[in-house]
Amino acid sequence: MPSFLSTLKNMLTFQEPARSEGFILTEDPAESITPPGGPVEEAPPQADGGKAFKQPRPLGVRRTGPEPGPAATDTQKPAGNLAGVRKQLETIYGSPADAGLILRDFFLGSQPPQAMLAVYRQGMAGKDKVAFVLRELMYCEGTKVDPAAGPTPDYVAAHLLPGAKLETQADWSKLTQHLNAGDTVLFGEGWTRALVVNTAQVTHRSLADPKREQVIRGAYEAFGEDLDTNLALVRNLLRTEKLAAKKVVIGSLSATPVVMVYLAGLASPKLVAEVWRRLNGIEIDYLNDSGLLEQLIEDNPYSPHPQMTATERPDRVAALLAEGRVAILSGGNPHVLVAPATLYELLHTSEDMYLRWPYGNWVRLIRNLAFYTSFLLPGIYLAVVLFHQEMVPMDLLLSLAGAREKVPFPSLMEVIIMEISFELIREAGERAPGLLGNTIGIVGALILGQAAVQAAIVSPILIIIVAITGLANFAIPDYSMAFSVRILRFFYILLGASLGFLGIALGLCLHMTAVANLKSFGVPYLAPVSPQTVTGRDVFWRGPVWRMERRPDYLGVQRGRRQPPVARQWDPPREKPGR
Amino acid sequence: MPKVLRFGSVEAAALLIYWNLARTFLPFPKDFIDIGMSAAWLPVLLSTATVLGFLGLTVLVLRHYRRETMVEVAEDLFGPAGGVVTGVLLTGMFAVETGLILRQYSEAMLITALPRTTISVVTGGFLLTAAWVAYLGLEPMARTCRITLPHFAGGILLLMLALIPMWNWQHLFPFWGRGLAMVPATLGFSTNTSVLLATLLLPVTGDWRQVAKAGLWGIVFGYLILLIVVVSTVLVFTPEVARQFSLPFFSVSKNIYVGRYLQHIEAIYIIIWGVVGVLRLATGLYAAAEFFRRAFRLPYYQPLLWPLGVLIFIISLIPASFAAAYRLDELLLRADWLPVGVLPLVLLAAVLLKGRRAASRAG
Repeated sequence: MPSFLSTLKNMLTFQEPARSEGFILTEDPAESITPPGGPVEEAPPQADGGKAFKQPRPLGVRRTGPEPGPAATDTQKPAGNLAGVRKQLETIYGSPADAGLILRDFFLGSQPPQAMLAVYRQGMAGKDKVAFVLRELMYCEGTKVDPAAGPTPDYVAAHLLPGAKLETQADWSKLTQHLNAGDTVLFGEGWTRALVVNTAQVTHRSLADPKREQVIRGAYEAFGEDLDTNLALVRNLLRTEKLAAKKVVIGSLSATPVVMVYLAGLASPKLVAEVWRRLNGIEIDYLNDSGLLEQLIEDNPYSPHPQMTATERPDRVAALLAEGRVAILSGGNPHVLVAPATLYELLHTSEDMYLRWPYGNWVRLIRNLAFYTSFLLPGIYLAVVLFHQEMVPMDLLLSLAGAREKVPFPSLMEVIIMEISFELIREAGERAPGLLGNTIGIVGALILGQAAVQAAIVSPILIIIVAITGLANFAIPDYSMAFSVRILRFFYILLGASLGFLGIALGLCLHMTAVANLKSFGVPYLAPVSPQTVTGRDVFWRGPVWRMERRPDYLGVQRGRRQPPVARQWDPPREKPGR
Repeated sequence: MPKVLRFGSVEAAALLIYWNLARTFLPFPKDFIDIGMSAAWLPVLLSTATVLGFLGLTVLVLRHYRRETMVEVAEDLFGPAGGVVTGVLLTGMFAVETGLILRQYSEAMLITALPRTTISVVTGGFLLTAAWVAYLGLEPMARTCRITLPHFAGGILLLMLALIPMWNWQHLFPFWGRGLAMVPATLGFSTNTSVLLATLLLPVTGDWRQVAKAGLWGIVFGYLILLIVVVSTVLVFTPEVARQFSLPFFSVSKNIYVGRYLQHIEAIYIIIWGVVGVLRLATGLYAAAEFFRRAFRLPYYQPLLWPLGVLIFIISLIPASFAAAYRLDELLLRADWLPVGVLPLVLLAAVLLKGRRAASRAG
């Protein structure tokens, strides 16, 4: 709706657009050619995006992380003594105790002993990990160090601490980032640098089944809230050195880690650069969900349709990465974004591919029918009932008229009452806890529906129409796409009720051209059908696995072929008789 | 900064197919039946050949230029005044044609589906939707045409297949109909503005070969559907009856009776009509605005959509009736010989003359 209104406003008061258009993913002739001897080595993505951008948006110097603390501007480096460090901590955090900081004084068990200060954040740092670090440092009695040089941070890291992730750091802004993330920072008497030990251990729920994208055939594993675990899940499915991951911290308050994942040498460098550019072009204070991130980086935020795939399945992410797309994982969130997305891809599920191709095609056919049904059926019903009765055979028409005889409302009112009731049941079912949600659904659907018919508030045929529409909506695999068509359905209801099939046709025109105008990271939303591009057999229908040899051309991938022409090498093509 | 347009010859062809297909749903097929009677297929073929000839003539002009439309070509050959005159002529022609098509579509909708609705509501609905689509630009328009074309072509094919049991081959005899007498009558309205529309696609597709390819497909496929509808109408009804219909396509689709539960499905085709109609009107509106923009070297066509939209709305309400609107449209088709036939011929002659002069000077 905002998209429609903004376009209408622009139409009425035309103003010259500031820039012609955003990023368009175009293919360089060189990119489509794989040189003999293997794939092209990918150049590191450039911040300016090379030729990919028509008009690169000027970006300021980005702060990749939280805002620096007040003290950081005054004294960037840690003071050379522990008392000074304590004062610096008080300046940055106010009262360290209020900020949940634990300041633990101890002596390094070396000869001679060294006064040290361990700082960590309660609840964010793992108790066992901190205890391990302190034990290692306090019980190293046998270690003799040069009294003149003393045990430097590098020496401690190299000789005394067996932890895997250690870092020396002299910048307070970086040190506070580590402290806030749950790491332990070690200061020593006379040190101007601190030693950072990875002790972050935030409790997350364990991995569980997918909530929204359930399958019968396929893995029952979904992403969790821990970013490292999520990344490992993807890496476990794509065990190649080409899997690249680049991290950026977004949110001046939340400091949320966001990781861009892609297959180097396969994904288009322009696409990778564009995703990276958008991620680095976000200035926000709080970002804790991939849903927020999606809204910040999508091409057209006013469109009702989603322009990125949000999935909770690692296998889906891996499959999309193998096509040449780019995934974005954000910390603390089980939904991974994948870009670019097209309309056709948003109607696919991972199970389509796991099933044998006839079954996969069958479920796709059903799902596509469901997609159209979910936004057109109530509008078409109204159009037929109000304007095109001649379409309905006489027996059915009499039956419909008989059922509607006692209903006091006009058909439009009847449909709107039922649709809103259904939405109400749905929303209540989703919000109500646990089993109560299911109960509300059953009570709402069965009892209320039955009661409404008996009370002659609605006709039985309408219950069927609304129920089929609701079921069809549930069959749409992408949650955002299902949401968008739920809303659009009401526009088609109004159009069908006002102008019959002509209204539906006008609505379809508006809808289709708006969708045809959409782009997801420079890729037309209706690709590869319109614009027509070369692609594998995985658009509306899918081909047998051994014949799906090509990656989608619209992604501008560096290697268009997925597999050799004959994937079933054990079963070579039979020569025709007589040859 | 104006948007850079990009699409391929497939989308361009789909746009031109829709341009031609839109008339098939109007009384246009009736004229061919009127001329050819039992041999109604013959005027269609003759008309196709003539329009392809116009396309060839236009392409001959365009191949001497890189990415210019007829307006820039005229400006190059005859100076700024030539460009302005050509641009205004083409704008007027597209605006009037779109206005008359709008009226016919609105009347057709009133006849077939919305008998109790005021015509201005239907006309306004069509025009507002078309203005929105034209505002979004040529690219989404062409893409929408491309994505809907297989469905709509399949739907029309299905309709024709459902009519097969009613076909009577005897209606095609006498085979040559009225003979050679058909030729002058056919040539009178064998013009087609899709030829001029194709020239607008040159800056988008980037090559005159692509324009020729898209034009060829657009005309051949569009007229093939027209041929199927014309022949099917004659086969179902007699030519004498078929020539009486104001909307032949609707009349044949009304006849479908596959079974007790599959009859009177002509209403479903209203969706196809509506979508094709809106896209045709949007393309016409866009073309009128774009030719005007090019004539006066304006940076954007979008601000012209509202004034042109109002003009088209007024034009659509000028004819007193559906029949009057169609008669005016027939007259316009005859008048289209000037921009579709004479203009490219004049430009081609000027191009060749200019080339010879340049060669003689150089030699």
